Amino acid sequence: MTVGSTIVLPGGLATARGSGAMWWPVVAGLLVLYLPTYLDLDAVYWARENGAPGIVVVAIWLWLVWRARAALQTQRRTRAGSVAGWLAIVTGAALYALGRSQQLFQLEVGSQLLIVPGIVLVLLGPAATRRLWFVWAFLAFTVPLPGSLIDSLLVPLKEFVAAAVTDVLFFAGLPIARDGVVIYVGPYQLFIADACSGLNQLVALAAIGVLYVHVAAHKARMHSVLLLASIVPVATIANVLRVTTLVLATYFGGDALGRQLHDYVSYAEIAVAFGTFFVLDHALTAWRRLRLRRSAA
Amino acid sequence: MTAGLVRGLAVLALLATASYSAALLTPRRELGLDTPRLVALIPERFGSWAAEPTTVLPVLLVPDVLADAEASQTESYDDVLMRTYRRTDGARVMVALAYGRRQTQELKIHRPELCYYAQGFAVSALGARSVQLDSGRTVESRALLTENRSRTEIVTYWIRVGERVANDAWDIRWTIFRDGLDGRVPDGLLVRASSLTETAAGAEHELVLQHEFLADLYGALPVVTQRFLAGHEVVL
Repeated sequence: MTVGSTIVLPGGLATARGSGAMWWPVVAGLLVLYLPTYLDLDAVYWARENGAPGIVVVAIWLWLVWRARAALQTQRRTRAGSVAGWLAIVTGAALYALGRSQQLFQLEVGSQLLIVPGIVLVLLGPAATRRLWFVWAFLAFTVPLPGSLIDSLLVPLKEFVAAAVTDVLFFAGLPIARDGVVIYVGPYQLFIADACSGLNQLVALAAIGVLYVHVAAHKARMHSVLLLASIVPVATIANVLRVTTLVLATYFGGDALGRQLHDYVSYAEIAVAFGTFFVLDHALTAWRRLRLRRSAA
Repeated sequence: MTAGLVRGLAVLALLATASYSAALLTPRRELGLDTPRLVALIPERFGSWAAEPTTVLPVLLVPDVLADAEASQTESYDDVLMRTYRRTDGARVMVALAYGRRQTQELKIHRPELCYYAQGFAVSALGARSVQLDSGRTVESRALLTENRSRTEIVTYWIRVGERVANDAWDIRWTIFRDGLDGRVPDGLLVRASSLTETAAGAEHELVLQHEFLADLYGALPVVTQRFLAGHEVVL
């Protein structure tokens, strides 16, 4: 099909090159809705402890849209698609109004998952919407976990980190003990704060990991499954390493050193987690090649 | 104007309506006091109780303890009061109040279960208990048994959100939501009374003591402050 040509379809609906002008009001509308949302997200969620993941997710999402720009050029609208699209937009708009006014961030941010694909359904049709499913699904990573859920995730996660760190250092001969999530080492008392649970880094690695698996599009399904399954253990081990480093720094270098290192070690943790993830990917590829060569020989 | 542009403008109209509706639905009437000043609201002496210097370190009212304990509390609340009272017969009760002028779904009173847990205590629930504040008013409270290596502390608490008491996480969310739809932003107050015991077996004894303390305090307060403490939901 040549770009710009018009073919009359049975339903009287046309396949055409999407006109650029129709996107301007859409972009303006999305900005009116979600610019305040993202500013609030930034203030309420991302600014706390390691706020990077949120911004990174948005940047990645914009990149995904840009990457899919070719698919955004073709229009093949259907009546059913339009009806579904308008319905999704209206439902999303209602959820947005309720969520934003009552500070239910999950509804407010989650409404994107209806509104954005709804708009594409209406403007471009079902084919383009389906082809870009990953772009819409990826928006789910911008939805913050509700506080109550975080609390019930944090409790076992913090307990695990505290226990793992205490056990490792106890066997290494340090005078260390713990009461739940409070670690006593030498003269120091250390709280495993929410940030130390590594939940943020886990979500960040999950976003990057899912993206990586999607973009790399490994032919072997097993490869992708193994990579996705490695996200939780890799992030957890990296976090235990981080907290262990901080406990050691505090014990040997004093309270001030521990606090000074706190932020740097977070960045190191992300680097270690991502590094391990990519090394694992290469190892899997190498192993598959090796097996192929063996079976060929 | 092309059909595509018309559709684009229709989308814009819908999204602008959503934005405008959100602004209209946003609750504006704040139920909270501007300056509650808990120190002034709660007397240092009443009945046979008198405040005395705190001897044990009270568990903070926040789950996430920052390097500066004071700061981590003032960051979360608009006002905080922590006192130890001693009765003439020697019994001691620690009281901790935390006030937040605006309660929202993501910014609300921290429940003591999490605060004790985060500060190294093992927490077990002793169930819901009614506290008889005076002949006409009972309030539903939660009782906790908390232990760490150096102490066992029995806790009674309730959380007032707007006009009612809501101790369950979902009940709190639901109350904030319902008030919000009525255009109101509720305030929130945590009332926590606790005392130390030698063994877990002493729990019931401590709970009785805490209920006596809370009733004595309630009885010594003017009606306005009574409502500030326990709300004024009409129970039929």
